[in-house]
Amino acid sequence: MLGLGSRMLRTRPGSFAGTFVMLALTATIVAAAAQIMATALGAPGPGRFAAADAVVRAHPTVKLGSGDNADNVDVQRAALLSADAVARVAAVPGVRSAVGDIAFPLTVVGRDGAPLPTRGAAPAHAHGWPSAALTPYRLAHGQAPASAGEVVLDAGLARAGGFRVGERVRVITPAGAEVLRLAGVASAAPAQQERQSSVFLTQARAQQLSGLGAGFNAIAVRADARTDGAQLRERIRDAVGGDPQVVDHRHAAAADAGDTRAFDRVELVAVLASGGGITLAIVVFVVAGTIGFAVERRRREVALLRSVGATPGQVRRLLLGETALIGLVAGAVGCATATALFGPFTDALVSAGIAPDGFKVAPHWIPYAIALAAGVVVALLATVVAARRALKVRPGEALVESAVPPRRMSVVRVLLGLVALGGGLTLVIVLASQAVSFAILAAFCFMIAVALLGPFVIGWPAVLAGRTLLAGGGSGFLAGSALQTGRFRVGAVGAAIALVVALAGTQAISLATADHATQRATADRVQAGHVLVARAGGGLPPAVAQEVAKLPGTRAAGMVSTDVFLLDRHLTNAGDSWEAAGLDPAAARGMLDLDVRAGSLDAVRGTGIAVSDTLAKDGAKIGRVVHARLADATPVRLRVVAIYRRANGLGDVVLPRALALAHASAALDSAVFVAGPARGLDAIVRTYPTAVVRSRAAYLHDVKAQAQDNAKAQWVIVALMIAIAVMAAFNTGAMAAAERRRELVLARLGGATRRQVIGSLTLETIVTTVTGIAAGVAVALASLARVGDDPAGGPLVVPWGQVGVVVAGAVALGLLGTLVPAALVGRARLTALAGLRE
Amino acid sequence: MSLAALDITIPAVALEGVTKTYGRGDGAVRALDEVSLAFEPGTFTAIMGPSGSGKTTLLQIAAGLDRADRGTARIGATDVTGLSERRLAHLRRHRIGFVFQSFNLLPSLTAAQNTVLPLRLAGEHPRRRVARDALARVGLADRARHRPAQLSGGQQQRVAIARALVTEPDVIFADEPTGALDSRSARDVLGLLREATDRDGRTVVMVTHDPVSAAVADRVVFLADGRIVDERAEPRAEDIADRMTELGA
Repeated sequence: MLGLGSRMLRTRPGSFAGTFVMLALTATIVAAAAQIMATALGAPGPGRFAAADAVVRAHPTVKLGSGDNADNVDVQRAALLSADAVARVAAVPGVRSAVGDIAFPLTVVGRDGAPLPTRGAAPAHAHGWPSAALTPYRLAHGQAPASAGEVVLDAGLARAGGFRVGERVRVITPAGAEVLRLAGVASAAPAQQERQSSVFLTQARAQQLSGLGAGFNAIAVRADARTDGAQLRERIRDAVGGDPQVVDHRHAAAADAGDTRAFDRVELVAVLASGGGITLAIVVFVVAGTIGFAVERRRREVALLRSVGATPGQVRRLLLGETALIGLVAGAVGCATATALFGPFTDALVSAGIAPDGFKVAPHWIPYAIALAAGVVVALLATVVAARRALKVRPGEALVESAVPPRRMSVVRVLLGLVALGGGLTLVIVLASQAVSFAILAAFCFMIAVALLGPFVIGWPAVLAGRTLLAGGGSGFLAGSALQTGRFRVGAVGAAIALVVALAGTQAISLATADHATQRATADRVQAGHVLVARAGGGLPPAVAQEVAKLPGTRAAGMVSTDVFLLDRHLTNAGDSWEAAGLDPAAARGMLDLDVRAGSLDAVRGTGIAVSDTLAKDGAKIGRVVHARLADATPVRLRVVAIYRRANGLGDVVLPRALALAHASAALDSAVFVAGPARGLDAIVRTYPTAVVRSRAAYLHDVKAQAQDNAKAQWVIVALMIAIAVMAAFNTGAMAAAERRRELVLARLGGATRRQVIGSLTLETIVTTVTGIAAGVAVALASLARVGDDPAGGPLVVPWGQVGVVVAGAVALGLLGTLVPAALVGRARLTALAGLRE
Repeated sequence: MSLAALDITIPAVALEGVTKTYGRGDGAVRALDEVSLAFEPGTFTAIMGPSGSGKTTLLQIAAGLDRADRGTARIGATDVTGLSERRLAHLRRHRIGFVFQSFNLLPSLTAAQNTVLPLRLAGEHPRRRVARDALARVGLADRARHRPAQLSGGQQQRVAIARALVTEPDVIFADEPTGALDSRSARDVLGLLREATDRDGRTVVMVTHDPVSAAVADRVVFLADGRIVDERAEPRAEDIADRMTELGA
């Protein structure tokens, strides 16, 4: 039977085109997502520690929840290790040398007073000179820093600033602005210099300027030759004590406190897993529909085979064999396409900030094998279902030309549709407090329901519209009758359009609503007349806030943006950290109005914290002591002393600023709020050129721009889903046109002019498209029905411009997707088509 | 000898009290109403009647392509009404041949491949000459490698007959085999069916509404509204046409 199947594929490739395209698309998505995830999950490489054999850092893992549901989350920067620990590691047998490594962001100011450009989409990082050997960086000019006042720049920075050895260099560090003498210029392998700009100080000076105090972010080890790596790492772990993390050469970059790439890879996997999952589900759905349609079209062929003695088993094997062949070829094409698309796709992910800078896919054969298997398995499953249906029809019925069986909704289909509807409703109702995050998932559930129940929810409205068309003209009559008899076809095409509208609409509206809520909360909260922020992201040294506060008549409050893990049940934020702000409430009085509901912000000091009313609702009442981990995974017990409302855009936890600074990934303020005259601020900005003064209005505008920037990242994944939905719409449109081919030819043979046929199709398409758009809008609104209950949401905000674009796109899609294939029919020679049998 | 004598007493195809209704409720159509009919081995019977009289339904139930609501259909001694789909498939492969009005051939197979399809489905690997001989018999020896799209309608029907004959079946069912053909091609096709009866002793059951075609048969059975209303032996085309006019066809 396989021979017969392959012969059918060879001689009639056209009838399998739809299936092929959708299967190739499935394989493309699976291969691309799986390859990116495989690379992201793989070893991040040694990074800056290229010359080290192992690297130790304090335990970075936070365990949230318990038992099987526990989430283990690694922090980006772990707590510091002591000089003692370095000495103990150095004494471990097999260790040739152990270097305490420090990494913190530092800005080199050019001669013109502006910060120098850096490499690798991140600020330059400073280290102690002993760390230079770990890469290695070697002196190109001058000498190593010998005193606290000396610095070594990497060749890139030295060139960018035009600095010569012996010159004075201004730097901005977490501990303040400094002027240092350039002792030397170091260079490393080009790849490392491109990866991140580096600056070297003496070890003691590096500790001091890091703002984090004495200690080391990591200890890098070089081993004696012929030492077993695993045993050595075990000995090091024992020597350090306190359950540290010891990574080998291949994973060393993960322990670099100054490099977030390894950390960002984990995020990338999470984003791809959720976004890719929904995309794949859409594709599977469309593939199933396409294959079902293709098999349905071959009803007569199946009947003929059976009339000459093919058993149902033989027919099934024939169909499965064909599909498996298509699946394999489509899978191979999909893998090739994915390989060609890695570049542009990862570039898009990098520019949207989802993938770390410099991320490159290293293709592995396993994801390709998964993609091939996924394509074949999806295709076979869909064929099993379709073949079951095709074989239910008795060959006698199928052979009678006029007897196209009236299509009925199977009970299973209706039930599945209701289950999907129930799932969507559950998401909307139960997770109302996270409506913004779950909007797309809810929309997806609703869309499955719409697609399954399409003949009802889209078909019937179209039938009603068709009835009104019957009275008008030749085209109207043709269109009206087609709409009345084609509930299934109209349902399928309408659902494809609805999917595009629902996904894009939900995304646009939920982002706009969340943005608007954030902006409004921020506007209500921020009362300060001016705000200092970092020019190029990052943060400001706490010294900036101190200096501003020294200006006559001016008050200042620095705010550290960080996060905190709450470990207690119900407070774990579903396996994630909570955004937190480090604030000195006394300093912030009158500049930040958090709308305190209970307790007092004045008690936010030591280990006293304020929490949002969302957290309070979850059980963080005044006086409760919660178990927490700070941003560097340090365990701490915090006491709730106040509850506030305006958390949106700030974070759900307010920590004492000193505590936040000591444990943040960099000891920097994200903003300094200023009350009083702004006259002296210019002088401060001259000292700290990384800072920029914004009026309150300009700051609020920045918040808006920042939100739009973040939205870009969210759109990358949704755009992928929408692209698939668009393909699905075209595919369904083409299938619908193929189904009507014969009918349209008959209409023309019956005397309809070409214009009437096109007119009727246009009318039919308009009704279908409008119904689909209405369904899509309804889904979007239903998904966001309870967005007001989400602290991150609020009253529904509809971005009319974007929604207009979505609707216009859907109209164009509906018209193109149906009319282009149909126009091809219209142009074909009638004589040729009239003889067309099937 | 005694077995052969016994065979004659068993009809090649027999229907007993066959009733078939399509649809439900108000829209229900009774296609066949208590029809009983037998076809003796080696005979050529034409089934006639106006549109909607149940001709095709009768043929399909007799052939096991469709199931009766009530009554039984037999091919030789085998009751097809109770057979599983698998057994029906085997029956069709070995004992039944079909010729339909159109769409008889798989477009992706050549004439030769279409001809031996039932044998291939039975798991056999027939020699090339099997197809060639079968096609030669219907006068298409030189068209073996052509695909259906490269053949005329009459040629396609002849390939279908070659396929129906290749398994040496007991019965050939033909549903309007000349319906889409010009008169000359129709004559060829009817001649081939007649020859299957006369030379090979096959039983032929043919549905048609064309009196000239029906005149080739040994016997004509008239159906109207799902019942047998008349029967003629050794009919003449003029008589058949008159009877059809009376039936309102």
